[in-house]
Amino acid sequence: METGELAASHITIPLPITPGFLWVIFLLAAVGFGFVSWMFVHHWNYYGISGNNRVFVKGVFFVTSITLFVLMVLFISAYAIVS
Amino acid sequence: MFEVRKHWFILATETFWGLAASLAPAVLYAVVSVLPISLNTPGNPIVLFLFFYALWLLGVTTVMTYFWTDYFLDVWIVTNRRIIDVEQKGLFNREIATMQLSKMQDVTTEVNGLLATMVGFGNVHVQTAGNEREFTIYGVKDPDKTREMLEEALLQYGAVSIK
Repeated sequence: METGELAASHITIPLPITPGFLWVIFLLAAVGFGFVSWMFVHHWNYYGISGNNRVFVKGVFFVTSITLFVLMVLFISAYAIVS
Repeated sequence: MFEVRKHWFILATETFWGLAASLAPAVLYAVVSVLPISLNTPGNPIVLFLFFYALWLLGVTTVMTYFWTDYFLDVWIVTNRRIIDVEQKGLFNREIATMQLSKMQDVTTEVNGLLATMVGFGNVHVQTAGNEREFTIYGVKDPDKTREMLEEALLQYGAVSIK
């Protein structure tokens, strides 16, 4: 009786997200990132943000972003293997 | 010649919210994992969560970089002839206005709130003669000192800028 009540209160949400769908999201993110980073680099270079600040933010932005892209590829691959 | 910029505390506040936002999915995951809910996905739901977490962090990184860029591109440059007000509004709008020092009439400063008083930042307004626009810069470090520097520049160079 008690187990039955617990089972009845447990909710399962179907989420049919395929690896293909994740690749589409990844590609859209990559295109968006390419555009935004081009805009940032244009602003930093054209409007003359001073050398040290520019190098610092460029480094943080690109290293963090590229790391995250690599992680996303690994996660999609792992997700595809399991499914 | 000198530059007037926003106080570093403005950038620090934005950075704090960015860091808080980066932790939000982890907190959400911890809350949801306690609830009697399970996801039926074709693959491992934890890996799926990690993928979207990485995507979220990419968005947060981009927004924080935008805040940083905006912070460094908003500036007043005060020369011996004029004030140049450079204001970045988003990534696609940039406004540059100039005002001759001789047209500067009133400089008003305001420090609003406990944090602004303790940390030492506020707003500086410069009223011009005639119907020209008012210049305002928000969140400036030590606004009273900025006002003094502007008034000193007016006394020293105001006559030069009329030429």
